[in-house]
Amino acid sequence: MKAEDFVFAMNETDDKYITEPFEENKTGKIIPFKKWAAVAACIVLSVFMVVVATAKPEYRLWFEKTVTDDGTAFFVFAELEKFPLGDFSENTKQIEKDIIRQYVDYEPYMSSLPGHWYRYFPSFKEAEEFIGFKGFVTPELDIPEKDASVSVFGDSFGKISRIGAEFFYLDTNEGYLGIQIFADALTVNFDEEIFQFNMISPEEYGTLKEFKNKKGTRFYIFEGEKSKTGNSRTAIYFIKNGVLYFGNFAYSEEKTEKAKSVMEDFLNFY
Amino acid sequence: MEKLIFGREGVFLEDSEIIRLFGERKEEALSETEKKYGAYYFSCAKNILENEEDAKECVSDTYLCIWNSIPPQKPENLKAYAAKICRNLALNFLRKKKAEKRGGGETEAVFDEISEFVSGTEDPEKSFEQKELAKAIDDFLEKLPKEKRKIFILRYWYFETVPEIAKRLEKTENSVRNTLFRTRKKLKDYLFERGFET
Repeated sequence: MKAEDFVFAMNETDDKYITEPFEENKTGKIIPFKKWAAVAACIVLSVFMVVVATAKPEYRLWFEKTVTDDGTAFFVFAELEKFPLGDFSENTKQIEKDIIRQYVDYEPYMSSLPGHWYRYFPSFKEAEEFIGFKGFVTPELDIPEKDASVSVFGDSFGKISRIGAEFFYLDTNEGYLGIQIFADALTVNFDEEIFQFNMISPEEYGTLKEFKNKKGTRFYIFEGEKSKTGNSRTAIYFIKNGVLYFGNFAYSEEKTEKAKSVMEDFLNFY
Repeated sequence: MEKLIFGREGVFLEDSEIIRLFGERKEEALSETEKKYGAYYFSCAKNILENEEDAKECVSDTYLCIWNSIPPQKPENLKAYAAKICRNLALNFLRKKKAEKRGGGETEAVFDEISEFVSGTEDPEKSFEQKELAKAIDDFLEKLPKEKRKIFILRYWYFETVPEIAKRLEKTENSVRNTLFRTRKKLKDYLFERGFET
């Protein structure tokens, strides 16, 4: 038997095994947010507000509860600063052109959905320099920086309405501790008042706590149940200087103390 | 009520609804498939081909194949159905490229690992057909614990790298490597016991 025979034979694998890796453990490199996309959301009840809070008088962050097939979930809403594009680097000009090109070249048969520009960076520094936005800040934590990415959203005229970045810290020495920090900034081209961020899935939200640090930043902390991989998860949402942040902490039991210590540094930093 | 799935990039149609659109020969079926699964199929193809342009071409061929096959096909799992087409096209594409020049890279690494438990010799009389081999692999997968099966599938179906699998499943790279090593060994014995010339 040749390796090739085996590889082709594997193509007959049962469908359920092919989709299985994406059904229960949902952190992925393609699009980390896919984890929420995978939640079958049969919306049964209309939403009601559970938290309304003010980070600064003009910014608001709140969560609306809904019921899905899998249980209770939350949508995240925010009113944020709308930054001028001049606050970002000149690279946005090329991105505008790239996004227009996505729409021009768009063919349903072949193209990725237009309007979403994405780039991976092997370090935080490279992502920060590329986007050149002072509003995205990341703490120096006692855990190695792994990589970063930038996502830009725009319309067919190249008007950029939203710029986001993901910063990923990872420590796999004797256990697992992974931290994703997502930062999202709206631009003046964002023509709605309320920004709907994404959904917190039932298995992730666990219990909700609020915390205000000495700098006056208010955090909304969802302490999830242990995932099926045995790792604990904590999601932290907050607004800082008009930017929406979301920190996603995943850690194994042996890293619990380290995770708590790093989380404390994280909460004190912003 | 029509079921919708909410994602960061909008609202997706249920698979059954997309398949209905294919049945009615509406091109919207393709854009909805693209919207819902485009990134996933692209990733499947790119892991194998390790080249964005080739992967795009492969995904576009995948859409053409889906368009031509539904109907009469009516897959229960659209995601997996098209992923199989995409993977198959990518592997055939790669085979053609390899005929020209051996590629190297991650895909080659997966082939090398598989060669650890298959002999690499051609069997002209092929005691078992490809389908039987596929069935044996499926039976083996069924007996594997779920976490090990996911690791195996991510590596040998999706051609993901060990660090990617570790990140996706929140495990250490060492634990993924060890699992793959042990699973390959088990599979070798399993196939041997069932008369496959490994």
